[in-house]
Amino acid sequence: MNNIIKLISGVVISASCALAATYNVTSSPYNANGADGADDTSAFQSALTAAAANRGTLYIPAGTYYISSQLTNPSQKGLTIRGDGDSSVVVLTSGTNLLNLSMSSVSEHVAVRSIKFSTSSSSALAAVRIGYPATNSHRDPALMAKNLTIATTGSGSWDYGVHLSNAWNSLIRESSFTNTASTPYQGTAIFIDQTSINSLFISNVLSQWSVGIDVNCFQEGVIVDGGTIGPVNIGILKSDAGSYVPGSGAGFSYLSAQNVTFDCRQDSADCIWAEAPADGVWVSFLRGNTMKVAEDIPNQTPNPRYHFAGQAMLSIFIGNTLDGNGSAGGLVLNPQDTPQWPAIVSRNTFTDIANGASLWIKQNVYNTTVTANSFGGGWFYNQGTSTNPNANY
Amino acid sequence: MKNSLLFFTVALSLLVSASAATYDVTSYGANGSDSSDDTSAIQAAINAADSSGGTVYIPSGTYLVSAGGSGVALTSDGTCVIVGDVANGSIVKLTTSGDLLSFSVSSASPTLTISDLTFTTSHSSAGTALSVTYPSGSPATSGLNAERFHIRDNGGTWTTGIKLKYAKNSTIKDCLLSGHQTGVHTVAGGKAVSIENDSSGTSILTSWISFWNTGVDVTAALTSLTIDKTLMVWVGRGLFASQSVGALQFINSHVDARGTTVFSRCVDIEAGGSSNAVIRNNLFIIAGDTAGQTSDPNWPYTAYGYRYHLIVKGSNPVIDGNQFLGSASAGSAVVIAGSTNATIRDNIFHDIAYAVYMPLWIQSGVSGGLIEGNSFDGCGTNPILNQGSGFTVQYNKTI
Repeated sequence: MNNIIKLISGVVISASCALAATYNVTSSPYNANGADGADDTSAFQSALTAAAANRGTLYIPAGTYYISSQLTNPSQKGLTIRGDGDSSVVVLTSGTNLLNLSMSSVSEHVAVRSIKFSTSSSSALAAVRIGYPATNSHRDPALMAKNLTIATTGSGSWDYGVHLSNAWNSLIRESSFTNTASTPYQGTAIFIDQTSINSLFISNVLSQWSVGIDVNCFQEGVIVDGGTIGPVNIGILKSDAGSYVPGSGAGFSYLSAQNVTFDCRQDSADCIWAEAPADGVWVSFLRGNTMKVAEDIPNQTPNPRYHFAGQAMLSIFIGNTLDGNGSAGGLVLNPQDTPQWPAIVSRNTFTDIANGASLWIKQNVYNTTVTANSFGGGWFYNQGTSTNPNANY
Repeated sequence: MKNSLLFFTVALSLLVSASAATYDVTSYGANGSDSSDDTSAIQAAINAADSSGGTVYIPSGTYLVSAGGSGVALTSDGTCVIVGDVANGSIVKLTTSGDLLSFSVSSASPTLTISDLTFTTSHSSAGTALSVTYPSGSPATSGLNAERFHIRDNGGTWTTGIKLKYAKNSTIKDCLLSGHQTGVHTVAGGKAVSIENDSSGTSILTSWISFWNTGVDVTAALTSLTIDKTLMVWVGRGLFASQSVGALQFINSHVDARGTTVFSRCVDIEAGGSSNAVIRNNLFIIAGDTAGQTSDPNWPYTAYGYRYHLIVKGSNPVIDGNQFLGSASAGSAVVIAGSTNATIRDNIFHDIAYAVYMPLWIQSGVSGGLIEGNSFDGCGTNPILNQGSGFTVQYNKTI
């Protein structure tokens, strides 16, 4: 009996069941049109307003839609934004951000998946900006993005791909953020600021940006795993850090980057740059990364370019391959301000690094254990104190 | 009258939605914006989807369910897929004690899929949010596939977030499992994931686990278990295995284990039959809440007692490139007991001030292994207590 009903219904009724909390931008009363080349701002804003007010799904079918001013969520609630993959394209033609979502509470959550955001504006801000109130309580995941493509059209250019403020527990995976190729190395693919803690960036491709991931936070954890960051100027930039009170168990920064392919170009390129401010203290893990600099200018005497430049404290570098393309690079450990906490550099392969040291442990860097690295004829420049080198070759 | 109306509604919704094989719980009378109980309506949608292999759709809203005499609010044979709009938008709230959803599977093969929704509870003695049971007689080939699935409290307290029995190759990915927000990590009970019968091949990936007594509790022998890129913050214990675990991969993760009780630890593999554990590239913190405590009674190790970052038993463990931070308080960072051929390489031990005798403790009876390239900082002058035999100890640094 059940089967008969289903068989009949499958024939008679088309696949048009209305899902109560799914808001299709092309359906009435919104009626966006992804085939006519006309502006869809008001349809998108109406659908987004309704979807967010109900914490529902904003569904964007395949097509190309044009937005001329930033889309917001007046209810300050979260939602899912979902397309049909890269064939669902939303183009920002003018204005500031494409999506600017402000949340009333830390319990709101945004999911974005299977959609492409582009811009034809040369002065676009962020494709996705999400801001939360500044409180220090436990939070739900702020953003989960999967299969999100951020790209540009013509001379369009983003300042930011995704900009997260006070956003805890965000996860961006299997996404591709590419800024304009005509004037490359502008903007930041992923920018997190304020107090944004415990972010995960997994298997993404971030290319043609000035900075791949800018961590401008007081106190945070960031895990970056897999994927490619490059070509960019700076892969991961630690542009702010909090102060750590020894023994407090809190107030430090935590970065773990593994299995990432970095390709960092132009002057002052760095795969990871973590020097500012001076009181920045962090716990870091860099493991199994393929780090390249200066592929654009091989075999030249360059301005400083480093695979890693940052303070040496509670940092572990294991099993990375650092390729200087005959020009530059190196792993540079800078002194930290107060404690003399150790770092470990082990089992890395340094290759083709000229015009500078492969591993440079600077003065007033203490207690670095350096084990079983392959310097490939490169230079290990040890100015540190109580360095513990063994079995390098 | 009511029954016939319900039947009519069910039949109608089948007609409307069967072509897409989607069963919207609101078509069965569930209402996510009122205060009435939605248990029977959601169960009707699950039954319909189970009979056809369809999808149960829970639109955004808060749906109240209750566990009756069976102790379980909702049950499924696992044929259906359950999806919502967005976690924290599509919310199912258990208002009673008992369990919220039980997948009770009669065959070995279905994969149980759940995504984009939140289970929460307002009850102070709620049971298990999501319980998965495959048949005990015939080994399962499949398991749970949970993605963007949240477990929260709404002033209530869960005993268990996700319980796995006889499942295989389950994946818990991109999930938030949060127990009671206030202090539950200090009390007994409360497990984010409880593996109670052989559920080998379970993977917990890119998830946030917080406010539980135990993040992952293993009480059945497993041939494999993976925890990767997962943040367990504010738990009493991260992973605790009282039965043997083979091929453990505990990697790229962060555990902050705390609580005023003395048993907190990040990872504890207690069963000597374990083998081939890989503990790599993790940040382990103990006692952040009792930093600088000067009377921490962490010595000596006794089973299940006291604070430790890592306890490993079994053969061939590899502990590579981790950081163990002690907050000037905590007990042993690493204890190797009843093991053979242990590798402890390139780890940083930091600020383990009140374990001056044994930040790294190889117990007697452990034979063979490598202790190489580790840094011991703020851990006293003799940080390695090696009571084992046949170890190569080289290139370490004591600061």
